Amino acid sequence: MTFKIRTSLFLLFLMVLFSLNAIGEGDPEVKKNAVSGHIKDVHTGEMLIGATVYVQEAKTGASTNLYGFYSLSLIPGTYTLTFSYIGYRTEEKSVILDKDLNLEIELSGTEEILQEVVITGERQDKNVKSAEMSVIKMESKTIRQIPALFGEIDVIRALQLMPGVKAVAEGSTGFSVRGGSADQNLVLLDEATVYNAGHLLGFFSVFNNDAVKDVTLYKGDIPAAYGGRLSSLLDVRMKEGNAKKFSATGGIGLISSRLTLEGPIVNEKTSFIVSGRRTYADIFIPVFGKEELKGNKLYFYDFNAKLNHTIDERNRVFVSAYLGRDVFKNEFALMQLGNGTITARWNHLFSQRLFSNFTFLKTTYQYMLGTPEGQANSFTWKSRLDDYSGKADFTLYLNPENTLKFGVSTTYHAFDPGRARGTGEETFFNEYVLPKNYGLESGIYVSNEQKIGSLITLKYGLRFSMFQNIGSATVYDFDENFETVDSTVYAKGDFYNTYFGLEPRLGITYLLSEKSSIKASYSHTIQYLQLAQNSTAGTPLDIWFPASPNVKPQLSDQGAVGYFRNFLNNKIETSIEGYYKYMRNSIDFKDHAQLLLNKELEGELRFGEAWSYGLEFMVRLTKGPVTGWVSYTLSKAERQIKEINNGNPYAAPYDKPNDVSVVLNFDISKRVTVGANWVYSTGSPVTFPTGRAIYGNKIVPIYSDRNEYRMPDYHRLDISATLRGKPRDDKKFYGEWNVSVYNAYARKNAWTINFVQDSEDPNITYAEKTYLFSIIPSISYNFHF
Amino acid sequence: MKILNLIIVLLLSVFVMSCTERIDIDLDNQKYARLVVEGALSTDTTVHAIKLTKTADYFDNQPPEAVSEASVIIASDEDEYQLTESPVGSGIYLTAPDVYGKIGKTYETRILLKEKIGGFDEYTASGKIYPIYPIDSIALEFKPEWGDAGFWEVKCYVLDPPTEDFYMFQVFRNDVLVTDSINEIFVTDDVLYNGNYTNGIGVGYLNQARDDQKLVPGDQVTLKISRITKEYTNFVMQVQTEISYQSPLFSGPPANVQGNIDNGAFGFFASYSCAYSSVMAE
Repeated sequence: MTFKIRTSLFLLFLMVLFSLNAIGEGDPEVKKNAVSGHIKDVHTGEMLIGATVYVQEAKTGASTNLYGFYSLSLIPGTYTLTFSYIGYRTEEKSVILDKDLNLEIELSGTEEILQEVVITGERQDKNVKSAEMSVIKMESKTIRQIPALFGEIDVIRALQLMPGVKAVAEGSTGFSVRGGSADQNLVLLDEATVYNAGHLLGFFSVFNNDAVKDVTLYKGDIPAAYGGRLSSLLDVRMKEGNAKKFSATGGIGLISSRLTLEGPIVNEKTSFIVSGRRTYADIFIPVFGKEELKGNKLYFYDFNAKLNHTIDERNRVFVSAYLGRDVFKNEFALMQLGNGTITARWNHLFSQRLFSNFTFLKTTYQYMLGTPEGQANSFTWKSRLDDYSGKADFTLYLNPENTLKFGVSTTYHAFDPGRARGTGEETFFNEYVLPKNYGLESGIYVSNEQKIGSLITLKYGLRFSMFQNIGSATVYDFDENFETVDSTVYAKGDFYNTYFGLEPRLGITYLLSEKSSIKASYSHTIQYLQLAQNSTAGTPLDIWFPASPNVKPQLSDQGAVGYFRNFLNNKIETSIEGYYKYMRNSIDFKDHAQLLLNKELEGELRFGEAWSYGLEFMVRLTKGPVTGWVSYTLSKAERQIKEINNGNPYAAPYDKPNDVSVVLNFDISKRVTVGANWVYSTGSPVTFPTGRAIYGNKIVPIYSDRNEYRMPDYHRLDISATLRGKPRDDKKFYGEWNVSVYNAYARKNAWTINFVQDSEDPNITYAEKTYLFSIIPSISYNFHF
Repeated sequence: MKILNLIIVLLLSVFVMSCTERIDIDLDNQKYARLVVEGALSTDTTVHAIKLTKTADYFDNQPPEAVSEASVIIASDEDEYQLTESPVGSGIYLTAPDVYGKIGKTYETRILLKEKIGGFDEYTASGKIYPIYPIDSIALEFKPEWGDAGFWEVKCYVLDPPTEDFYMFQVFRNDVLVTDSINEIFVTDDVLYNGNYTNGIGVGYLNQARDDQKLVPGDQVTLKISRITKEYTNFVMQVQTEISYQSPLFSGPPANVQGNIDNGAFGFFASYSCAYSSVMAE
């Protein structure tokens, strides 16, 4: 095994050499100077991610990284640099580059951050020219315009309108990317993994849009800097906080209220943001007149905070934290759950060309469930998962043709999968504890983005990842029937099992013309942690468990090709992408699996293959009074597992062959915007009974093959209107009303279908669908000053 | 863990404003008919029954077809009992009234059909009877806040042996079985209280909004506790899962229930020991 690790690391080393060789191809004789700096918003001081700098004389450019930093190496000379960003006015600077130069840029956007912005940036051809494919980038502004359920603007619900991204169930913020399971998405909030991104059983996501700056979803071509999940990376970045002046943003809605405060501390070098959101459905419970619901609690809250300090031009530090909780309480039960993350980061410039970021973080997901105390059978049940991580990431801007990224990361996972105990004084319950277990997940990577001539951009990277199980632990051995035959106990601190692998990532962009390009990518990903989730939408009680001697890491190979074309001076962006994904060591669960409070959980798992393929079409309007997009996905996702469905392939739970989204916004005037979105998808696969037996006076179903049937097709229209306050030059306060209607034509989309025994004649059964949301109007008021 | 599911569903009901509506679903016919066996042998000295029927298409909407004129035997290494169909044509096969299962013995039922069903005419199933501790006592506690008219909770005081045990609880009101449908039976393992004295664990609930469960002072409530096998516990739980409400949040994929009859038949031949305790409602 050590030999294999050595081989892998050797390959990684070769990769570095290869990259350096490519970099050297420039012209090593000519000395180059670097111009570097940050691009910020002039009004808020927020760093702009993905803003571009273009050098007219050299016909080359660069874009800012996640921390708003850019760097360009050029031969000495005089240059005109053009800085631009979507929604901002373009700036030009003339520079004489006779030595390394630091150039901090502030771009001005529109006055009102709540107002819909006019797109004026010059480099609007990212769709065609960027080296990335299968990437969805959304800004807080776009997300806010989409009509929302209960008026609650939701990052993940907006992403579900994109091709290749599907909700796992009606109303759920769980999502499936290109046929993958919900647990195959790596969800990061300021670099920290969010293990359960849902509130209120998944009907709302944990991301408070007011605190979110930038959202990027990688559907396939995951950067080499990240690993650990097969299907996607959702990278959510929190705002840094206004460094120029104190401001407040908030909203009052039907379900929740939000308030965000941000501003500088002492001077522009330090700024903070704090953002809170709380729902208050429970406050209205007495109003609905249900006497028996009094004393019930049902709410969630989110709290985001971030502090950043610029020490000097070379050093900047960030500390960000998130805490979210769901609280349910009624006379039978009490449940609390939520995520907490804390991230500390240090940006350091070793030189104008070498950018680095060091991250330390901790993330926790925990839940507690219990019954009221004082009863003989009162009990509590707790579960928790903690991650401690350290990362170092470097970007070397060697020349305009080559941007080299490399880094290392390691995460210590501590799983406390469940402990139940009686709480009453006369309790007869024993403490039932699933033993804690520990793992160490590490990665080292290098990647290069290389421009070859003016037409080809290559992106290649290699990641070496490793997962180690650490004792103390009891590992059960299972026979071929998955019955426990033996167990092995490992001592504390014993690294008793190691998995590792190489994850190559490749991408190529070939420009056919200024307006069109073709792109292709391949990625191999390895997943060492997974969710024990047997239902399609999942519950907050589902637990994460690691690879182990019994559970091999899941592997995925994905290839994608795409054609990208812009029309009418980049006003219309179009793309077609096709993908094929093959996954090995895929996990499903045996029939009637017991996944909670089960010491022998691994005996409930069944392993096999899964595959998915599809075509994704997208047309996007980026400018003008009407903006939005139309997307269509044609896809298939299947699994094959020996012990399930008699070993025959079956539709994966999120297989929805046809999927359409239409999202449109129309600016009627400066003060009024209306929006609409319509979604359609084939019904989810489902297993229905074909036969019946009478047993114990009840009709017991005998089923078809797994997922042989389909739910009825799903479609829905949502509409919204935003009315903004009158613009006045002197005003500080800005407000807007938002009215939205979810499911405007009241389609009764089936959430689940049950077969019910008639209460009058017990020989008769009928099918009954449950639908969650009929037409739901809502209103909210948002303000900013 | 059934209680936990109940709690979660209650939590959900507070929040989600769901509605239901009948819909038409076009289902295929069953691929072939199967034999259904429902029978048990307990340590009670009484008539024990095995019922044989056939599966039907899901929307058949008729009473199940009885399987008549079969030969049905229950046997251990010591005893053998021939069951007789009574009444003829009902598919219900009965022992003599003096039959009882002996603790520690494994009993097998052997069924020989007159005509093949699902390709087979011979079926067997077996199960062991484990010893049971007598119930110390039971008590009733009224829970006025549950439901529209409150529930009477039947609390059980019994010592659980240190072994891994499985129980089934059934409640009688004035000697009439209240929990007469399989979804009303409470089965449980002893994982959370193995070897302990169950200090009044709630094992049965009488809904005072229902006429057949309503208690008046003087009514006698009897609890039957049966020590069943792990396989039967799983079977009952699986049946309960498959006939209860399924949702994308809490339900795994629908799956066929695993019984203990061979050759693809549906159902279970259960064997168990049992004990009783009664209390008078006040």
